[in-house]
Amino acid sequence: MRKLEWIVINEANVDAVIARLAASGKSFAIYGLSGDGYGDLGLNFSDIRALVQQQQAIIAAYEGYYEQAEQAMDNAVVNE
Amino acid sequence: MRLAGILLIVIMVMGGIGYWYYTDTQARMAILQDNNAKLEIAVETNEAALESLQTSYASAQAENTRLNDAYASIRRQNQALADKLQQIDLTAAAIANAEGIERAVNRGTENAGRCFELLSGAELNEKERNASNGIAFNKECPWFYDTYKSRGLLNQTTDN
Repeated sequence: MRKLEWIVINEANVDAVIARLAASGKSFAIYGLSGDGYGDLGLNFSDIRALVQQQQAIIAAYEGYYEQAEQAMDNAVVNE
Repeated sequence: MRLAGILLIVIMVMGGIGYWYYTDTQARMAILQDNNAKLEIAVETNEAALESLQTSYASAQAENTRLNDAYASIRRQNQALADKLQQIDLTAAAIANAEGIERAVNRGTENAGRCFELLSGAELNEKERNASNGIAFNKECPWFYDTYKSRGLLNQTTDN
């Protein structure tokens, strides 16, 4: 994953953040989220992660089912 | 002489009937034996198919149960962040301690990204291999610790 850097700004530190960005050669342009917005972003990512985990669980279940079904079919053919 | 001729004809007719009856019965018996063999094979095939279906049904049931358990576990894990956010006022925290929150969200973002990498099959790094518990493994997805441990991919350490 690409490294992200969040910058937290409030009324008290906004000037310090501008100065910090200027010192590192960056212009002051910020894409902002409120505290609640940041929380929602985190929840969205958590939902996506859960979806990926669910898909992986489904794939694992199918794999397990087909392996056992194939084994049962092989046994049936041998018995026949 | 005439009577002897009639008797000979009767004997020949009876013999013919007897011969026909014998050959016909033998042919029928051969067909019946053949049908019997076919039926035995059909019964064996049906029994094998039935057994296969029963095994298949049982394995489908087992996988379904396992899947439901996995779903319940995933839902619990997904709820963990929502529960944590309920207890934290991010705005107030950012006003009170912007630097601390900045460090925390950057660390959390890195950890959350790492969770996706692990989900995609990424190799474990040294820190993860040597982790002694889920929190040390990754605070954003500590439940992976048990998964990797059960697969024997972690270095043996003592759990806290």
